[in-house]
Amino acid sequence: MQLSIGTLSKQYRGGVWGLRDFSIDLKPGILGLLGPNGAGKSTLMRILATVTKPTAGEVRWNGIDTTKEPNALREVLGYLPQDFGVYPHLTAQEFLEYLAAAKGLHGPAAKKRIEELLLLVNLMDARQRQVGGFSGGMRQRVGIAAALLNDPKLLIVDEPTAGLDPEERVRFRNLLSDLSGERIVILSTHIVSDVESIATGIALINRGKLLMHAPPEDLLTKAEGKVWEMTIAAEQLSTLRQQYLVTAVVRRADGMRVRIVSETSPGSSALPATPSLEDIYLWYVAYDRERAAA
Amino acid sequence: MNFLPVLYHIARADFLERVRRPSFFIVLIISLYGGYFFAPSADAGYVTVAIGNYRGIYNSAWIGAVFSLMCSTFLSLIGFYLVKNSIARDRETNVALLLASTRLTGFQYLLGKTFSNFAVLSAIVGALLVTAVVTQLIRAEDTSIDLWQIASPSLIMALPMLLVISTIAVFFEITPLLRGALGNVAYFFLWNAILIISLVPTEGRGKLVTGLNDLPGITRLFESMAKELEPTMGVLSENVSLGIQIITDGATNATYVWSGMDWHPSLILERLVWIALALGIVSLATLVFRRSESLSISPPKAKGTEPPASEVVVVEPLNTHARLTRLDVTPKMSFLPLLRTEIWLATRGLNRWWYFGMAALILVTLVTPLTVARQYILPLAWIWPIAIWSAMGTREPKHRVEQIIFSAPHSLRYQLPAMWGTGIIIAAIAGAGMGARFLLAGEMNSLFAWSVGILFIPTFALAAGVWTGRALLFEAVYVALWYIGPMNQVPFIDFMGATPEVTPAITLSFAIATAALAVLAVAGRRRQMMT
Ligand SMILES: Nc1ncnc2c1ncn2[C@@H]1O[C@H](COP(=O)(O)OP(=O)(O)OP(=O)(O)O)[C@@H](O)[C@H]1O
Ligand SMILES: [Mg+2]
Repeated sequence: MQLSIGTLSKQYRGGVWGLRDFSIDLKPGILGLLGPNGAGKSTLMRILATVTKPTAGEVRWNGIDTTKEPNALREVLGYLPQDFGVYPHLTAQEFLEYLAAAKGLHGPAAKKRIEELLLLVNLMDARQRQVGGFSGGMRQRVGIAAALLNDPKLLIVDEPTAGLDPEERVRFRNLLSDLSGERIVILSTHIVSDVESIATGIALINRGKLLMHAPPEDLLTKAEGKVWEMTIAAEQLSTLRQQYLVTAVVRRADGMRVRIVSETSPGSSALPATPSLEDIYLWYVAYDRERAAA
Repeated sequence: MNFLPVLYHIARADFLERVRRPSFFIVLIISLYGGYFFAPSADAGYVTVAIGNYRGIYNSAWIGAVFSLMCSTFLSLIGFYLVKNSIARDRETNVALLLASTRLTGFQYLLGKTFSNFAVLSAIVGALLVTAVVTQLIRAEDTSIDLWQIASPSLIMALPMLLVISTIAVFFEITPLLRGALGNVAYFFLWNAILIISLVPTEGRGKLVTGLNDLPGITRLFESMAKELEPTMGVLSENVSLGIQIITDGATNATYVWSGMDWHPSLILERLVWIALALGIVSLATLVFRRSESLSISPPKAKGTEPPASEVVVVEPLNTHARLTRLDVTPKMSFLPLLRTEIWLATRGLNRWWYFGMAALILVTLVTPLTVARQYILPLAWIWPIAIWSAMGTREPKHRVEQIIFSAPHSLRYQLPAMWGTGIIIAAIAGAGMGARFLLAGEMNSLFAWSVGILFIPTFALAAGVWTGRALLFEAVYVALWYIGPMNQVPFIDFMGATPEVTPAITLSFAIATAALAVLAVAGRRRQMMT
């Protein structure tokens, strides 16, 4: 099972580049796709889900070009778009039956699968209600169930936790890590904690470009010795921000406790801290932004 | 907030956004093309505007009047469908929600929309006036251009009509019942009624009512055209015609010189009444808007079966104990399950009265005399499900499920035919009674036309839907076609067997059109699926 993405680019009408020379090779596991707003995460995912045509480059699923022969991939694809609607007049059960039929699942097998999924996303009680009346979070779950209908080999979920409350987010994370195994899961987010604990690989993306792709452990070791913590007076914060990348600020009784990412020690009172994925993410994005400005 | 600047900005933003859309250019090009044919050359074999056997020579006055007539008859129809989407767009993009949170008043908002609608239509009128000048020069019957003569009928007659149309479009858009297919059908009849009423002669009634039935300005123009002719040629003022008249062999069309309208102040005053009416419609719309506002700008909810307010929606957390097992079957595409679910989709949102009406129409086709059934009931039965057909190919974008549906495997081979099949089944059921009648009566030509109709209507809907992504094009064109052909008993455009005179040759041409539309539909869907 392999997904190869080669120098993929997408230019939208009006000239905006959504994605630029993006290359990555994926094997089974969970890829956390991290990037700020407008980075190109959804663009990449829509191309992978075969609903958007790339301007250049190619995507190969087990060697088959997905632009030319999308059905080979679609048969094993589960896709939860970032922004999607529902057919308001169908009940949750009917909506899933419709999508199951569209994916080639029908009859008793579909019934059984849908029941299992409704249990999983806990919509069993609401299954006879029209989805038009569902809350945002409930719709999101219908979407999650829909993406899992065909037991996909490639599962693409675009900001799946948007609209879920914090507790739900944790549960969803667990669900995903249970699911992994013999499949490729790609999850996009700009919330680092969503992927921190479950991803087997992290890809950072900004301005349509892949900044780096590595297992989370490697990233953490790379940042060893570059994260600092110090306590400063409140007035000093803005000057510090101009000089260094401040990744967290906590107000304390004795002043501001700040976290800084820097190659060198930002001051005599600074103590080395254990790096987190969030520090690294902010660091890369800030670095890329500087490079863009230069 | 200042009233006028705000108004200006809404109208301007909206206008610019809309003239950039392809639909504007399509209508513009059709209008310009139409403009050219509306003033046919002397040997074209047809005339469009005639007083008895006479038409004016193509001087600036006549050309100006002809173009004004074209704007207030033809453009007022397609123009309505062109502009009737500005609020719907706001609603989709949730701009309405943003607007609701600003201090913009409903009246400002709707007036802004009206002006933007009017600006779009005026832009087309402006382009037509340029065409008018060019047409006069090409026809070269009188080459002295008088800009005022060319422009004044459009400015004084057509523009007030188009302003009223702009407000009607706004009114329709904010009124829940008139927002969708029903409104699109209803407008066609309203438009028709406006034209018919305007032709009612007012001569001889009190001075006050004179002209107050003439929103499009048709009669006023005709009266003036005929009056000039009367002393010399003695043609009756009733004997006017508008629309394509084929000149029969032998008959020649005489020409005369018409020197143009005398813009009497009372006539100008009369036109001002229409502007007042337009303002009245916007005010009325504001009242409706306030009432429906809270409904229309909340996120889309299912109609009808919303949970009662007392029912508390308990959202259970994701289940941590449930485990997803491996899927023990291999998915295999199959047509029938999809067809079944597509039929759900097509019919779930309809209310009881719709079903009742449909059943009644089918029954009535069975029991009424054949001539009545074919002429009146069958056309009704085949307009009743218009919203189902116009949803084909537009439902996915409307409900934003494209990404989910189009990423399903083989959807071109299975989901598309299932959707199409649903439309065909609906047409077959709606027309079932008539089919049986034709068969029993041995009317094979009609039966043939009827069976092609079953395919033609949904295929046309699908092709229009996948290419435009909106229900409007099909609804507008279909109603026009339906009215001109089957309703008016024109065998030439009878795609359902509503006229006894329909021939296999006519039906064959619809069959060919169906095949072409089918190819177009598949190509459009392919394009729609991967952008
Ligand atoms: N349909 C479109 N037409 C034109 N430009 C687009 C379109 N979709 C995305 N873009 C542009 O492409 C770039 C990448 O957008 P994309 O939606 O992929 O970002 P994202 O990483 O998913 O952002 P977010 O976190 O906000 O979802 C942005 O600059 C965006 O403006
Ligand atoms: Mg996105």
